[in-house]
Amino acid sequence: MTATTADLIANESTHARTRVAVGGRGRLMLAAGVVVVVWSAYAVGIGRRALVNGAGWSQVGEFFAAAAHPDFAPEVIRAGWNGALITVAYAVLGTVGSTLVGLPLGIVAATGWRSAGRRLVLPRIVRAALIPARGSHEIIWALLLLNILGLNPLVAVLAISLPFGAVTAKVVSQLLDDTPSATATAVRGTGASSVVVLAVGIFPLVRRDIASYLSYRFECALRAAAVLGVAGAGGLGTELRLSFQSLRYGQMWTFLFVLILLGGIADAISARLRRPARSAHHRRSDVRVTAALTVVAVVLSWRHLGLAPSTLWSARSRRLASEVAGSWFPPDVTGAHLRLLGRLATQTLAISVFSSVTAFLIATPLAFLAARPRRTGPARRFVGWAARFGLLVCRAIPPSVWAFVVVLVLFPGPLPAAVALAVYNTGVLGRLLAESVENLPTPTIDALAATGARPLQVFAVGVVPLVGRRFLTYGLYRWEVALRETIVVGIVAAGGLGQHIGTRLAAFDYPQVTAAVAAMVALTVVVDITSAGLRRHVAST
Amino acid sequence: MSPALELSGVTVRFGDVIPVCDIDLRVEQGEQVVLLGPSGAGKSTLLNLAAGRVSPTSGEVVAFGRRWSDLRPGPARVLRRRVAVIHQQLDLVPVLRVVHNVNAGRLGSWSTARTLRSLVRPVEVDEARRSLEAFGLDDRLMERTDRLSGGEQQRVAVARALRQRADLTLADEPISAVDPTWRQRVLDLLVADAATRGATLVVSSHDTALALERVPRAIGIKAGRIVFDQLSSTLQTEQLDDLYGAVTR
Repeated sequence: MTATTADLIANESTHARTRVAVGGRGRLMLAAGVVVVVWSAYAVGIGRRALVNGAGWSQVGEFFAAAAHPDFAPEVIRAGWNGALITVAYAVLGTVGSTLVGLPLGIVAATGWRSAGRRLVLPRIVRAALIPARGSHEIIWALLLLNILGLNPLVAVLAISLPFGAVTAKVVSQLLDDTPSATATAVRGTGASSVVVLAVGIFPLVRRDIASYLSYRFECALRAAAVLGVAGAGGLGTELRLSFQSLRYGQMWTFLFVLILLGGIADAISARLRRPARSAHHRRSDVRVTAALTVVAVVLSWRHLGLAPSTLWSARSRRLASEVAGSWFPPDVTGAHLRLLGRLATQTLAISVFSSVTAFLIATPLAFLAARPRRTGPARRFVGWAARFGLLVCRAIPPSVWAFVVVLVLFPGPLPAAVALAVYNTGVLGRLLAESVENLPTPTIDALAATGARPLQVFAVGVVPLVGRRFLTYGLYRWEVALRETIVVGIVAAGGLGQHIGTRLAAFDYPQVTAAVAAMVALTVVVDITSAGLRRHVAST
Repeated sequence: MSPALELSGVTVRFGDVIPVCDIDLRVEQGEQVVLLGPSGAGKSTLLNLAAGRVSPTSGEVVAFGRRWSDLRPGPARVLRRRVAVIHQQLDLVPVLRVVHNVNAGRLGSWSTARTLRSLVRPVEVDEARRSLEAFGLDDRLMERTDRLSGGEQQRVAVARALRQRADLTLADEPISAVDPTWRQRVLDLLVADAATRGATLVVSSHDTALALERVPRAIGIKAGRIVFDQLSSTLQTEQLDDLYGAVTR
């Protein structure tokens, strides 16, 4: 079984396998969807007020023109190199940390391997506890940890490890539970303990899927490390922000090119790891090489960052933790603040919907161009290469950097937040969609062509039905992620709950921050449930 | 009148494997032919060659006087409309309703606009239902294709090919997954359809007895070569034993 990335991330929030009966509700839902999209456009400000700051175009022009002459001064190169080391170290330790958190929690949260008939309280508790952890963006974790641990590289590592660990736990438990295993049944039949059933009957079947999922998470961790950097955690993100603030676009591009290069390398590594091995022998050696490289990377990253875990239990941290508990709680739930949160939550929802729909509409055609086609001429190959590079650039540049650029030309507010998020999401979504285009069943398409159908007919009757549902599923999945990311772009572009959290933090108004974070988590849960329902609907029609 | 199919000196080589080796074969228009032979003998490759889906390593494949390898995409499409293919793996679009899969046989004759319209609101529904009636599936017309059993899906695949009203039908194991009660009927429908329209049929099957009863010309293939090509009625049991190895059929 070789699952695609998309198959695996589909496990991040839902069971897509349950079928529900559907009648003529399809058209109603389509109409409702159109209404929601139009509303989201209105709510982010389109058609209501002046949006474009015409004076900003020349700066945007300057920014992109600077891509042609990045700054290669020795000190910039050195900053880029050091920044890259820190960012990669965060990503490596964050991924390993999230595995250490996610794997055991995922096993505990899974129910399939336990002997049936017992009341399973623990898995439920773990699953419930994972929800807020998954619902909070890395940046929120970072801000919380910053208050406890102070300026310390541990903050970034943990800020990635914890939410990523929660998502990984969810995926692992879903994989364990969804894998029908004859071996497991047979092993259980011998009277073996649950642990043996898990070790012999289930785990070997999902090992590869878990491994490829983790390699995908590394790509995500790299992007998260860059985003945390922009927020001030150090590394390439921080360098980017400093050069932006001093308007040194040439320097910015040097750092952006390093990020794009790192993104490309991470893509290549995870593609390599997901590719089925040529033989059992190759697989064993692949596993050994990967394990050895991981250990080396962890040791080097640890030393480079100079991690001192003792900070975690130092007296100072304990004192600060109790101070945080004192100052962050109780949250501000006065009527006026709740009304404000309600309005901002609505705006946040609009940003997430508008950006996701826009990203979907742009990523869909790009995915077909970016998918590596089977039979091609050089022109088509060049277009494919260009599309893949374009998507890489979109996703390798952190959403907050896109937000910096967008606010040059759009007045601050929800719209630039949505646009920045749309650009970034186009890059991520386009890559996922291209992967599913590449996995189209060739014989079915060939069979339609064999009837003498024209290419457009084959596309309409074969390709669209075959990938359409998957596309919608991934679009919905990205909507869930986009909602979390509104925090990041909101702080820069001044929109939604993100902006509120940013300004309240700056004002040390922690009770309001706590309430806003809680509102964000609640919104995340609502969107996750809605999206899961829609995905089930999509899968069953 | 040019023959429906003419292969001369055709060899196909995939790396070390040579599924078809120096085959000459001529099938006249209106003829019905059954391909016999053990698994891996080269029957599927031969049918794929005839459909223009596999290019020969050497030799040439000509259908209705047109050489596949000479055709540019446009004329190739025109020729493909005249050639219906039933694939061993069915290759239906699983998430579409049955009616769309059956009518996919008409794609070559439909305009693009009509195709797009049909996806919103199915067209030629009565024709599709009539085609399915013969296969006992008319009540499944509006169901999603992947809800049908394997045997039922194979019947849909045959119905799709008949909807194409092609001059040459190439059927690769069209009854392999069909339940026994329907096998004979599906083969009869294929043969009768070709006979009434004067069209050509080339079918491969492991159901030797059934096929020999109904299809007049039999071609035996083994290890990529033709070992016999004669009237089905004159075929000896020893020839079949020889073809399939020691196993008596």
